[in-house]
This record gives sequence, structure tokens and C-alpha cells, in this order.
Amino acid sequence: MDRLTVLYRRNNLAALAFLAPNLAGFLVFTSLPVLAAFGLSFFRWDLFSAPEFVGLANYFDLLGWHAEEGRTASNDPEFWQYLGNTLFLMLVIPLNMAGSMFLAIVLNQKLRCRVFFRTIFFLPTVCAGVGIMLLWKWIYDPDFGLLNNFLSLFGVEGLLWLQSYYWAKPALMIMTLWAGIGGTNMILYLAGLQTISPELFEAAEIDGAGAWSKFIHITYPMLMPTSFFIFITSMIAGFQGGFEMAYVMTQGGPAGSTTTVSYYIYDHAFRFFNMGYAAAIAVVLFVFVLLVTLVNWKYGGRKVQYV
Amino acid sequence: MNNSPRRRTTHALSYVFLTLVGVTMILPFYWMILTSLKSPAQGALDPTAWWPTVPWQLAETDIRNWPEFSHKLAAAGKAQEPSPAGKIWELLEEKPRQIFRDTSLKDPTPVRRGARPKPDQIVLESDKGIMRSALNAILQRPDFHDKTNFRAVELSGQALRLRDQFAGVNGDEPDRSVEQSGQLNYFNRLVLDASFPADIAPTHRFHWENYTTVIVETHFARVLFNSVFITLVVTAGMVLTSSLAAFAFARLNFRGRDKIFLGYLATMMIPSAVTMIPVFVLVRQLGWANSYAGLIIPVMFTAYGTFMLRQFFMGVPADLEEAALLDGCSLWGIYRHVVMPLSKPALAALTILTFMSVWRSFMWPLIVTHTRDMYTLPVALAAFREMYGVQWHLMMTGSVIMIVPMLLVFIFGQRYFIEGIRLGGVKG
Repeated sequence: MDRLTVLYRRNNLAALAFLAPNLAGFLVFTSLPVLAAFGLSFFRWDLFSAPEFVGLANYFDLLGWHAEEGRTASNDPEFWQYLGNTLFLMLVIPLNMAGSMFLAIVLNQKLRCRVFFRTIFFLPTVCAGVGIMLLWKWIYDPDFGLLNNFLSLFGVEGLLWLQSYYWAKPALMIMTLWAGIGGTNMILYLAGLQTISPELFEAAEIDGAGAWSKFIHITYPMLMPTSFFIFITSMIAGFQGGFEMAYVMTQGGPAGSTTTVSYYIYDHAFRFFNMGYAAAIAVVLFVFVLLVTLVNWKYGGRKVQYV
Repeated sequence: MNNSPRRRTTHALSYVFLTLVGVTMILPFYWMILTSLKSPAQGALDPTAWWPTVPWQLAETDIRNWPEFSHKLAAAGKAQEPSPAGKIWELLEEKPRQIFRDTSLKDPTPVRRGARPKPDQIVLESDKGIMRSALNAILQRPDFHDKTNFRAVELSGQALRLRDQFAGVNGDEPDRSVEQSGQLNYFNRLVLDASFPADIAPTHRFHWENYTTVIVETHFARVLFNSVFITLVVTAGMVLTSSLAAFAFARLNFRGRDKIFLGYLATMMIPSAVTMIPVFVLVRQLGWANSYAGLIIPVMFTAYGTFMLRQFFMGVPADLEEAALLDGCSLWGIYRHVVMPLSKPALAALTILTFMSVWRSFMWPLIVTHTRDMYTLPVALAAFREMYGVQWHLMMTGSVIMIVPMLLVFIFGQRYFIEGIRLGGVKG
């Protein structure tokens, strides 16, 4: 890299020419909007009348609390419920990671139809989107869906799935697992597994290690960098996720049980036209993501071992 | 590589396990395609039909031998005893009755090639359509199934269930709603098939017309066009601008290069919900709401493409560029003739990943568009329910239409897809 740095003489103008299209679009549609969102959160605006400066009122309405009948009640209890929903849905992340890791380990053996299986497992990820969500909505149909008919063979009847307050979120999690377990995570783990030198395993076998022991002491630690990366990206995605699922499959769910924070933002911005309030929620979400990422970085960075 | 029994059992178990997982992955897809090919009545009535069975209308090929069938009907019409054939004869209108009677009297023989058809042969061929419509019309009548006439007929379990629904069992209220939903037609068809097992061969019909229905119905063809157009333009624009910027970051030397790139990286962490609202406001002010510009331009500039290509460019050996520079090649020349041709795998990967990502993107098109003719495929699918009610077979058809292009791109570009994941390490 140093050699090239010397070869390519410092040329700001040329660089600008190359960068300009991407940078311009990037500034206009990504960087500046972030600042604009911060600014917007200090206003109350419904797109049609003039915006009204309200300072921190939006944040207070969102995060604060007030006295009510002698006890404290939060100003926006729905926000906390939806935040809880989002966090609950994120519980699928460790399950997904464990499942992907397991599948990768099984697929890493010298089996004959490896590529075939890998392709099949990848299909749900490839096709992910509204089409698949409608399919699962149909599968979860209480009367005519595939799942209930399958379960009735074993005598389990009458589950309401997406129409049930308690089962809606697990139902969405099952769908997320199906759609993600053989996907990019598994591919990343497969790539990671192939970097583990077989000598380590041979040495362990000579020392008399069993399968579980080999996993705990060799495979799992060596996959740590990959796991760490997957974990962080999944967390970031998890916080902002759930919008499509909520919109297409449950419209927010029975009594708000499947509304996530991003769906809430959409509701306030594009249904109730509270632009400022929606921006405030988005900023709070951003802060959450930032905090979680920083904590993970600090804490998790120590756990990542390189041999 | 030892081939110990233990290894063999592990392998065997692995195959079983992988097959089970594979079946779980494939089964919903099969179910989706199957539902898309069913008729409305069938989709609702028989969720466990793993293969389309009795179609609810008669096709020409369903009757094994039209003359013989007409013969039976005409004869039964004259007889006194109640019978299924007699009931059908009774319900036929005047013109079809004529035709059945005429055909039953004659004995048409097949036309020899080149020979001139005789009058009775012409009647049979051209009037099959009339006979078929007449029979299908009868299938829609609630009074077709009459216990007196069909007493001796053995009905399948499904038909019995439906009959109980119509008639009301054990003092229950008869369920008349089934007449409206097309289930009556289906039921009558079941009765017809049970009454004439030798004459009627139910063809296993896949309702391909569902696909034409969905595409031709209001605006869906336009929606398809929108998705294709937007996806192609965004992909082209994204790859072009990202590669230019990545070249600048990877090779060129300029003030603030690393700081700006850090800025790019940082934005990958920002939730899309944060930028969505201000960008929407901006798009609206620019007059791009509900337009192609609004759908294409804001989406073209993500940091991901630049990041991934920069990674790749930095890994390209510098020898060729060194030689080109020494020969006095311009920067643009190096970009175009040296770096880009060497980066085909990464470019292919980025193209494919971008294609998939734009094809399935939902939130932004939902926000920007508000008339049906500007919807993209995912948005149109989500709005389907409001337009057509809960018709699962049509919705599954829409889902299949949405998924097929992604499957094709994946099948042909599988190698680049996997490569792209390794390069960028981020979900598409």
C-alpha cells in the first residue's frame, strides 16, 4: 500500500472527481438527514401546517413520566411495550447463531451432497421478503394453514398463532429462524470453520478429547471473531427490524404485541403525521444502537481470541 | 482419512439430519406453489390436499365418451325411476336437451383424415362446448343434489361433510353461506363424480389461469415493470458510483481520505428509520413523491457497496497499475482498463446482492408511493389483501411471481452470491 501511495501523487482534484457522485448522494441522502432528524425532533410538525419549535417536549413525552392517581405512570407506555417487543424478538439472535453454527459444523464434514444441501438451506434467505411473509401468514392460518393441519395429526388443535396475544411473537420468531438459519450466518461460519487447521483437531484426538470437548475448546473459540461480527450486525439489524413482519403479517399484532419500535416510528410519521415525535423516537433508537454497539465492542473485543 | 464405523454412523446420522432440515426448508415453498395453482374453493376446503384433486368445473376432457354419456342422460330422462342422470336431464334447459337427444340418437364415427365430416359428427364436436356449459350451469344449482335421486350414490367423506353443512345436522342451522362461496359448485362436482364413476375422469387440473388473473388484473403488470425498472437502474447506478468512490478510497491519495471513509463506515450503523423521515420530507419538497425519481435516487447511495469494493480493490496486486502509471496512463484509464476488469467477481457479487436487496425492499417504496400504479411488487403484494380480500390462492400466486426472479438470479449467480458474503460479510 505504501508503494502505491507514493506512486499515486497527491491529487485532490482527481479524487474529488471520482468521489463526487457517490459522496454527493451520500451526503444528501444519508449524512445530512441524520442531522436533520436530530433537528426535526425538536419540532412538532404534521407536514401540512408550519413546524412549531417545542424544544425537548417530544423527548419528555416519549421517555418521561408523570404522576397519576398517586403513582408514577410513563408518558408513553406504548413505547416501552414496543421496546419490549423489539427486545423479545431479538432473542431469536442467539438461537439463530447456535443453529447456524450447528448446521455449518454438520455441513463441514466431507459429505457427498454438501453443495446441494447448502443451496437448499440458502433458499429461504434468498427469497426473503414480503412473498415469504405472506406464505407464512398462510401457513399460520388457524383453520386452513399448513402448520395447524400438521399439528392436528399429533392431536394438537386450535392454536391461534398470529392472532394470539402470547403466540404472535414466538410465531414470528419461528419464521425468522426458518428464514435465517441456513443463510448468510451459516455461510460465514462455514468459511470460518475452514480456517481452523486440522492439526488442532488431530492433536486433540491424540490427547483423547471427545466430540464435545473438541467443540468447546477448539471450534467455538476459533469461531469467535465470526460470532462476534454476526452478533453485532444482528443486534444492529434487530433493533431496526420487525417493520415488514409487523406490517404484512399482523399490522402490529393483537393488542400491539408485535409492534416494534420501527413500526411505531412509521405509525407516528406516516399515519398520525407526528413528524417531530417520530424523529425523536428514531433518535432514541439510534442512541440505543450506539450504546449497545459500544458496549459490545468494549466487552466483546476482549473475548475475541486469535491464535 | 479413516473410515471407521464411528465415522460412518456420524455421516449417516448427518445425512438424515440434513435431509430433515432440507425438507423443512422446501416444504413451505412447495405449499406456496401448490396453493397458487388451486381453485378458490379447493384452497379453502382442503388444506391437506397435497396434490390438486377434483376440479370444480367440467372440462371437455373430463367426459370419457360424450356420445355414450349423452345416451345415458337421454334414456334416463325418459325413464320414470328417479336417478342422478334423470335429475340432470330434468335440470337441463331446452337447447342443450335437444343437443343431448340428437347426439344420443346418432352414432358418430371418427372422421378419417381428409374425409368430409358428416352432419352428426359436426354436431358432436361443435356442441361439446354447449353441453359442457349446460352441465357446469347445473353444478351451480343448489337443488342439483336431491336425496331422492342420489340415494344410491356413495359420497366421499368430504362430500358428506359438505352435505351436512348444507342440510344442517342434528338440528343445527343449515349453513347457507357455503352456497355463495363456490363450495356448492365443488360439492355438486363431487356428487357428479360419485354418480358416474365410469363416465367422468376428473382431470387433475392445475389452475394456471391464476397467474394470468393476477398479472392482468388492475395494475399488476405495471407493478412488475416498476420493480424491474427500479431494480435495474438502482443496481447500475449503485455499482457505478460505488466503484468510482471505492477506487478513490483504495488507491488515490487525498486530504481527509481516512476521515471521510470513517464517516462512511459510521453510517452503516445508523438505523434506516432515522434517515427515512428527513429524506421523505426532502423528496416531497423536490416533487419526487410517488415518482420514479423518488424511488430510485435516494436508494442508490449506501455505504455498503463502497465498503465492499474498497476491501476488494485493496487486495488487488499493484503491479499492473504500477506499470500503467509508469507508461503515463491517466487515473481514469487505470480505473477503466486495469482495476475494473480485474474486479469482475466483486462487481458481480455486488450487482447480485444489490439486485436482491432492491427487489425485495419494502419500507421505502411503501413510504414514497401512494397510488397503485407506482407500487413496487412487495408493496403491491401487501396491499393485495385490501384489494381482493383474503384469496389465498391469488396471494400465493403473487408471492411466487415475486420470488421467481430472485431464485433465478440466485441459481445463475450462486457463486458470486457466496463470494459477496465473504467479501462484505454483511447480510444482503
